[in-house]
Amino acid sequence: MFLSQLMRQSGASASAARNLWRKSENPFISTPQAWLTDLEQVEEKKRGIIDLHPDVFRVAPRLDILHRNLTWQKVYRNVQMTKMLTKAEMPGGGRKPWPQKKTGRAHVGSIRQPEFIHGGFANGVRGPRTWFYMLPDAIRLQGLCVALTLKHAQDDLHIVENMQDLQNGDPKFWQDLCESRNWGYSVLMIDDSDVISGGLAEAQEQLAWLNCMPVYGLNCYSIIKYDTVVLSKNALEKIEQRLLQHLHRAKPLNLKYRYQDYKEKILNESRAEENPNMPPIV
Amino acid sequence: MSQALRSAKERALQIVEQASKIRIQDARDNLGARTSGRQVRKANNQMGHTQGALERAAKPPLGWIWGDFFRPWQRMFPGEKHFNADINVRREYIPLSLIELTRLIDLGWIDPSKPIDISTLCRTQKFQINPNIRQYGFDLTEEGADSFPYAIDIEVQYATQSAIAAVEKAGGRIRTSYYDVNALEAAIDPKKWFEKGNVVPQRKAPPKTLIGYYMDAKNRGYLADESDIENNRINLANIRGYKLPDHEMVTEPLKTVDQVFHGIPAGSVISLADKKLYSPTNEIHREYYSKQVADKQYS
Amino acid sequence: MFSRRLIIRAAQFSTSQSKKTEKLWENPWKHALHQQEQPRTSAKVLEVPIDWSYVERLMPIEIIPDVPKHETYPTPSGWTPPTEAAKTHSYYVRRRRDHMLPLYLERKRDLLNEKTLDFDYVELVVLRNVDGNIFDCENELRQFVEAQLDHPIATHVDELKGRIKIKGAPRKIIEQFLYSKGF
Repeated sequence: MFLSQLMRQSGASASAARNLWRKSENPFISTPQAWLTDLEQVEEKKRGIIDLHPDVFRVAPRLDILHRNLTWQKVYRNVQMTKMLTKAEMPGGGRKPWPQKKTGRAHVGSIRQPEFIHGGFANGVRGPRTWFYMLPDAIRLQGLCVALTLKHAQDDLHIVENMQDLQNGDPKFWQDLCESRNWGYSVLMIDDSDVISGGLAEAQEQLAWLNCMPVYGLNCYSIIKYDTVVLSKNALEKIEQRLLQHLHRAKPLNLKYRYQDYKEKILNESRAEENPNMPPIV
Repeated sequence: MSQALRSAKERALQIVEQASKIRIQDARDNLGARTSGRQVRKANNQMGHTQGALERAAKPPLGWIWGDFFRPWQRMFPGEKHFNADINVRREYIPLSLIELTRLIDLGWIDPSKPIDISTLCRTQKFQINPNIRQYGFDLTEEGADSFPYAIDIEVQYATQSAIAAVEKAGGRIRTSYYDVNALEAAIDPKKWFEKGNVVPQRKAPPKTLIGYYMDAKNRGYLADESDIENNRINLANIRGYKLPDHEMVTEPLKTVDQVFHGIPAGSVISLADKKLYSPTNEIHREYYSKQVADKQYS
Repeated sequence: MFSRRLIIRAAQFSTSQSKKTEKLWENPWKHALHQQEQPRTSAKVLEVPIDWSYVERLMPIEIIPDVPKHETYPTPSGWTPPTEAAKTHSYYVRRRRDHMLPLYLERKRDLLNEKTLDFDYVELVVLRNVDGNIFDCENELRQFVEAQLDHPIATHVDELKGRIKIKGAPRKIIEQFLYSKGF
């Protein structure tokens, strides 16, 4: 409401009205709004205001849910490949080094016993070990909503008209742009297509702090990691549509992810990939 | 806006708005959400004696609950000779009460004007049937029978007399029918079945133990004579003391005894991408799928 | 059909016999890449016209459907939509995504019963999705329920999550309370 008054004063053209799918009639929810800008020039020009869906961009700031998501993203891909060999797996050691008794030495049966130097390990690290687990869908969905809400609440979420085929690919231009708009140290651009062309593509190759991501790569860690998240209008539509579709899906939100159900899919994932340098695993 | 501010959520978000940028290290779990392991004192540490102590300890005989070790209660008071002896062969039916069915219709999950069968119920994603653990379909129970208003055409695998009466009182039609494991697998997830490119199966005849149930007009079995069922319907109305509606409310034809899906012939393959249905031209296949005499099946 | 399958199997058998001298690791590509095209049965099929609505009604429901219009409320199963009166309070209870009231049952272990040597359990009802002034909601709920039950009940409010836990009241009465307020 406040934003729309501002908009009227600044004479912005686009209207805020957007059809928000299954929006609750809750009077205690205010529809979040964001400015619509573009990336054509250094200065920020406000093209209009966009309504955002309150179920995605205005949820309770549950930092604990966010924490669970961040921890999961850090942990689930860890694999420990270290394998310390036991007495049996070390080479040699089959012979009794000295007689059992009457030598005054310890009673030992093998030079690879754990008490020996260069012996096997008794309670060593026995990899490969994985920390893989799946968070429930509900937690992952809520985590994304919380992350987007936090970014929007702290004014670090910006919506632009278009990211494709921009004219200017000069890194200086992009640095000035982000500096004049106060976008912080790192910027993440999210577009709905996974191919990006034009100025942004050229600039992001040279600037380490500027990154692009397709909508399907959206994750809590990246959203929080970057100082500013910039969504294109198409990406915004897609994100809302995907998240709401899952929030309102007919299937339960506590689906079980069992390895046996996905085994065939995972094992066949790389079937199409043929690396000319590496022999395939048969 | 002022109204929204009274909400705890909005106040929390205001704090967030005024706070400095929230970074990865600021995300914390709630206080007390996770407790670290308690340090066990040496005297109380029970670690270390597990295997041998358990193995060598004197243990009561299997099934012992209370009383004399050597005369457990199930031998003192023998009720059943083999308790749960048929657990690996008995069929399980998922209970579906009439009140649940009414709620599903009320909330738009099920269209009461169309015939309701396993596929219709399973496409709501509210029920899980696993034929691999001998679940054979739905059991319509009478909870909510007093006020069941919809004239539906329903096909379940088992139904109580009260449930049958409630459906027929409302002007509906109910049949109990048997799905063999293969047909059931197709019926519970038709999309998966079609995408695999499987042939729409025939329903096989029920096993010997169930043939009696499904040929009984009292149970509205699908193998019973339609005239018998009609007589039984009137009979049940007289016994239970309700009035049947004057005209037929359900006019759609019934499935044939070997049909799994309405309107889709057995033996055909469906392409969901092209929205086309193909049937075999081979004479042997055609004959097999059109003879309508269900195969013999043992289960 | 049957004889054909036999022939195919025989053919595979013979090739594997001849390959036996070649070790698996001599040419891993050969085994990893797609196997030779299996001879496919060329069963002839005939396209048959079909009413596609019969197939469509079998497809799983992906998104929770909207509730159809009913002439009268409550509906035969006792469901009522939220009314305009719901917006007049200082709090709001949002429906679940499947249009039902956000009431959940919870069972929690109580003390050990010394007579039966079994643990007692208490049954709690959790009311979720409360927005606005949750303490007003709790007060009114408590008054309503205590008037019905004639004994005090215990409640616990979680403000940020918008949840109220109620001990000592059946879910049905809390449901009545919510319906009476129009939620």
